[in-house]
Amino acid sequence: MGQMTTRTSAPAGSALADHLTSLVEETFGAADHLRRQVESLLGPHAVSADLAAVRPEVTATLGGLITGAGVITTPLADGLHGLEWWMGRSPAPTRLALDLDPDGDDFSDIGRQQWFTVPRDTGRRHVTGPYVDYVCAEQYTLTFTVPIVRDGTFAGVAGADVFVGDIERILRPAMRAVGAPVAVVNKQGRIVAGNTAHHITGSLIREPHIRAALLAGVAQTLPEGVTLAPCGGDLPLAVLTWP
Amino acid sequence: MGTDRASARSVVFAPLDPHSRAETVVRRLSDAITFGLLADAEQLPSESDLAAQFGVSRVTVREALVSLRHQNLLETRRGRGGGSFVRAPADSSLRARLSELSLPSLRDSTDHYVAIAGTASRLAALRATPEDVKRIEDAASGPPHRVERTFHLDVAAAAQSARLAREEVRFGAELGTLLWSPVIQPDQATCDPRDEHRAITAAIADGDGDLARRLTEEHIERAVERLVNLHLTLVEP
Repeated sequence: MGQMTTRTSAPAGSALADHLTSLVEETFGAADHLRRQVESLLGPHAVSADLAAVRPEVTATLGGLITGAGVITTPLADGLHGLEWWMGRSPAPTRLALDLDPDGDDFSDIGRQQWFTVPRDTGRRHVTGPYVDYVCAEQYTLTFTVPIVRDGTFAGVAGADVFVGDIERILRPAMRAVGAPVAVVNKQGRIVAGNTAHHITGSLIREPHIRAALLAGVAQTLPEGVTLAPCGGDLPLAVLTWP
Repeated sequence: MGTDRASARSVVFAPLDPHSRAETVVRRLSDAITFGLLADAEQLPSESDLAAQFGVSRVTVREALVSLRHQNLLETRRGRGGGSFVRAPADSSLRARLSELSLPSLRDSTDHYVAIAGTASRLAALRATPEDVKRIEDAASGPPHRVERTFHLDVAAAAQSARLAREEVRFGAELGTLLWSPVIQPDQATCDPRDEHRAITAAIADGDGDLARRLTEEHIERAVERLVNLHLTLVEP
């Protein structure tokens, strides 16, 4: 994950990276709030129906950039996953119904979903996407999840969804202010938002040296003059600026 | 690949892949009954013969037969001359849906779908990361319509297109269970659909969008051809 070691004197795009970092931290803050609520509920005999108690907290999370939020636990005392994930806005949010039965025709295998598996496998928070979220809202989405822990072991995730289109809209003035071709990308080189047709949302940075720099996640100016400004903390997001 | 009645019937009793269970037996037999490949009042082979033919345990077969009885697709008679007999539903869903479809509308729907899935493959080749490719490769198991649904949905997701993914979901709900019904899948010994998936995935991994699109189009067109042939056998007197 990126460490803020050698940020040079206010490189191009660093203000945009700071703006993005604060948006993301705010979203993670909402996810973390839900995590704490759930962890306080999960006694040794908790069953899936007990999660209904966090519903008001979950639906209160919706709004602003957040279009979906909730918690999904590993199977509880009744053998069922706890699932309180809501989408849309107040006053009429909709509850996500997931077919978690492996034999069902519409089975959603959360074991194949990064937003679930990465917090499970690393014990750390994770930014999934941009990706096509065909499990929930069928939208191009970023999902921010944190692990839920019970008795020191992984017990599920709490998280929030943000539509990529909403992020693009909100970052547009800051991207324009850079005054050069700029793109917000994830660690794999997937473009979240850009201000040129060449770097449009969803496309992939192909140049190997830029991809390598993204994986390293260190603020720097590359040989051809491309500047990389990583987001703060452990966030797998960065801003690229072309000369 | 022609799908005449006889070869379609032989597929009904072809050995099951090891991931499948009673559910696959149920789906294969219920599709065969609703498509009319197994006629009303026809006697099914015995439990032990079915178990041997499907390559599953007798317990699995029994479980499947119970489920088919609950769906009123089978009737069990006891005693001499007893056994499991097909009860063709008066207005069975798949068969009714297939024979009510006009060939022009079937062609139109599948043309649309070929355009969706082909373009999804081409864009996936341009936009997929190695992680996306791995996701596509991690094939789902289960009955063919579910394997196909997962595969094409993951390809559309790798294309980074929410709209194409939504069209995949819509097509899956409309025609997916017909197009990928287990009774009209090719004989796995000669042509494994997962080989076709692997070839498409390799083209995506290579970034060869034109090849990925062509292989996807051909993959679906072959399935459409089988479905049309079955449709023609059903509407024949």
